Amino acid sequence: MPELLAATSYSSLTGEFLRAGIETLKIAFGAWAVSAVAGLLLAVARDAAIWPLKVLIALLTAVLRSIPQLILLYLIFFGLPSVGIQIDALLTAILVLGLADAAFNAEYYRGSLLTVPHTQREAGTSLGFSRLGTMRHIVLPQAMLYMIAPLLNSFLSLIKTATLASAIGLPEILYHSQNEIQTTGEVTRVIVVVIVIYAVVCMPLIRLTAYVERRTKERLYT
Amino acid sequence: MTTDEGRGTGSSPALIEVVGLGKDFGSKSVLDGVDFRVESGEKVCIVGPSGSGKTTLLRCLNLLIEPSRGTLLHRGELVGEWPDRRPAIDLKAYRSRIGFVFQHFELFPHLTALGNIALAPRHILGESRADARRKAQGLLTRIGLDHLADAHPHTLSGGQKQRIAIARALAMEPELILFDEPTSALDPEMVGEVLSMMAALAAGGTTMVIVTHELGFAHEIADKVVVMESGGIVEQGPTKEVFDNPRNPRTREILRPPKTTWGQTAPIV
Amino acid sequence: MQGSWAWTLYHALGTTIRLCLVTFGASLVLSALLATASSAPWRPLRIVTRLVVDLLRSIPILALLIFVYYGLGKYTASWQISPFWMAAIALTLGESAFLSEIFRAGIEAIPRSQWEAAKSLGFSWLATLRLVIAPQTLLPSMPAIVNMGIFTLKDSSLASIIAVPEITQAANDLVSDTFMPFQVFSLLALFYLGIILPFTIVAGLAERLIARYYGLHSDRARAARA
Repeated sequence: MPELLAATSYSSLTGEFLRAGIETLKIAFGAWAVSAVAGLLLAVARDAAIWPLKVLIALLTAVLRSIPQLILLYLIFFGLPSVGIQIDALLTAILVLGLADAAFNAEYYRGSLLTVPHTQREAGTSLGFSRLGTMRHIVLPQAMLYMIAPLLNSFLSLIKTATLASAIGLPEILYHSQNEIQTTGEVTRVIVVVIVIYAVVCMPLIRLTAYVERRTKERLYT
Repeated sequence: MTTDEGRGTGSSPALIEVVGLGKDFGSKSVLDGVDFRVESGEKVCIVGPSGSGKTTLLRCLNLLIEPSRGTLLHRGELVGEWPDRRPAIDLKAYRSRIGFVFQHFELFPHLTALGNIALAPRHILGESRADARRKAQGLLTRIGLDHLADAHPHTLSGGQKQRIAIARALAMEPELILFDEPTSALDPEMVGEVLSMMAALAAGGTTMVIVTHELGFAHEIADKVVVMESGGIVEQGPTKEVFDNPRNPRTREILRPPKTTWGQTAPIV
Repeated sequence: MQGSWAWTLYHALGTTIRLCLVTFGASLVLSALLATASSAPWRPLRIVTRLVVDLLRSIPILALLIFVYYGLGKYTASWQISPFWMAAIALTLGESAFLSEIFRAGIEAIPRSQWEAAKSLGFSWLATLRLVIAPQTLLPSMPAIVNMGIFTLKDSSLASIIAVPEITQAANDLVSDTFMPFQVFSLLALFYLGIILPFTIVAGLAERLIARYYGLHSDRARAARA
C-alpha cells in the first residue's frame, strides 16, 4: 500500500498517459464539434424542413439513439472496409460518437431555440433578414445562454464515450491503460491513475453543469 | 377528544407553556420575548397582521420549527430550553400528541381521503390496518364525508380537503390541535363549513390554538385571545376583555374590523 | 454449422437478457439507496454520497468494466466470479450513479410542505420518505426509469469487451468465422434497433401521458378551471 502512494512510482507512467490523454481530447473535442453543429442543424430542421426531410431526420435520430455506439463503431470501422469504404479510426470515432451525441442533444438545442419568442423572428424578417439571417443574428445569440448546459453535458458525455474508441484501436486513455496493465501487471496503480484523471476532469465539470442548469432554469420560469 | 383531567385551577401546570420564546431567521428576528400558555380544554385564538409572527409561534408549539431562544414546557415538564438545552425527548412522539392543521391543507395526494386519515394511526400508533381504516371511516361519517372515503384529494373542494385534514389530525387523538389560518386559503362559500366543524370541536371540549383572521369566529368561540404584532405579543387575555376593553391602544386598531357573527362573511378591509 | 450458430445465438440472447435484468434490478435498488442517502438530514452522509455519485458518474462505463475485470481478475480463480457477474457489477455501479440523481431530483420536487405535514403527525424522516414522499415520485420518474432500461440494453453490448458471451460477442465470433463484418454488424445493429425502438416509442408515449396527467391535475390547472 505505501508504494501505491509514492509519487516516484507514477512518474514512469505520466509521459505515455499524457499522449493517450491527448488522443482522448482529440476524439472528445472533434466529436463535440460535430455534435454541436449536427445537433443545431437537427434542431433547426425539425421545425423548418419539408416533410420528407423531417421523416429522414426522425429516422436517422431513431437509428443513432437506438443502436449502441460500440456497434456503430464496429459497423463503420470493421464493416465498411469489406464493401470498399475505408475510414480511419480517428475520423470514424469522431463522426460516430459526435452524430450519436447530436441525436441525443438535438432536443435540448431545440428547447433553447424555443426560448426565443417567435415575435423576435418576425421582427427580423420584417427588417429584411432572410430566415438564415434571423437565425444567425437574432435567434441564436439569444438562445445561446440556454445552450450552455446541453453543450457542457455533451462534452462531459463525450469525454467518457471516447473510451469506446479503444475498441477500434485508438491509443486513448483506456486503450493505453489496458496496455500498461498487460505489460507491467501493475493493475492497482494504473486503475488509480486513470480514475484520478477522469475524476479531476469530470467531477468539476459535473458541478459546473449543475450550476449552469440551476441558473438558466431560473431564467426560464421568470 | 382531549384528555381533560378536570383541571381548572391556575396552580396546575399548563398543557403547553412557552417562556421568552424567540426565533430568528438569519439576522431577522421574527419572534421575540413571547410568553404564552394554553390550558387543557382552552380555546385560544391568535390574531394580528401578517408578519406578526403568529404562524412562527404556532409552529414552535409543536416544534415544527425549533426556537432560537426560550423555554418550552409540556404539562410542567421541560421539553427544551434554547439555545442551551436542546430537547432530549422524542420529538416525534411529542408531535404525534399535537395535531396541526395547515393553511393549504397538505393532504397526501397519492392517498385517498380514508388513506390520509388512517396513515398516521396505522404507522405511528401501531393500529392494525383494519382498525385504522375503521376509525378513519368513523371520523368521515361524523363529518358527513364518508361518501368521499375513496376519493383522492385532487377531486375534492378546498372545504372538503380542510375538513379531512382536521379529521386526519383528530385520528391521532391529540391533546390539542393547532390551526394555522385554516380558512385563509378557502373560497368564501366554503369557510362556513370548516368553521362549523371547528366550532363543534370547540363545543366538545377540544383544546385548540387557532391562528386566524376570522375575528367574528374568534369572538364567538375563543376563551382567550392573543394579539400579536411585529414578533411580539401586544396583548393577551380573556376574549371579552381584549375585544371590548383592551388595555393597549394598539389592540383596538388591530381588531378594528367590525365583529360579525361568524356565519356571515366579514366585510373586506 | 448453421445449427451450432443458432444454438450460440440463442444462448447469447439469453445472456444479454439476463445481464440486462440483473443490472436493471440491482441499479434500481442501489439508486434508491443512494438517492435516500443524498437527501438524508445528516450532512456528512449527504456529502460523502455526493462524492461517491459524482465519482461514479465521472468514470466511463467501459473503464469501469475493464477495471472490475482486471481488479477482480486476481480473485476469479479463488472466488469464481465469471465475467458475467463482473459486467453486472460494473454496469450496475455506472448506471446507479445516474439513476440516483433522477430519483434525488424526484424527491426534491416534492414540496417541503408535504414533509411538514408528515412531521406534524409525528413521522420520522425515513418513515416520511417511505410512506409519503417516495410514492409521489414514482409516477413522474417512470419515463426516466424506462430510459434507464434502454441504456442498460445498449450498455450490455460493452460486456463483449470482457468476453461475456452475449449478443455482441457472438457477433464478433461470427465475424471471425465468416469474414463478413458488414453483414454481421448490420444485422446486429438492426437487432438492437428492433428491440430498442419500440421501447423508445413506448417511453415517449408514457412520458406524454404522464405530462398530460400532471398538467390536468396540477393545482394551477384546477384553479384555472374553477
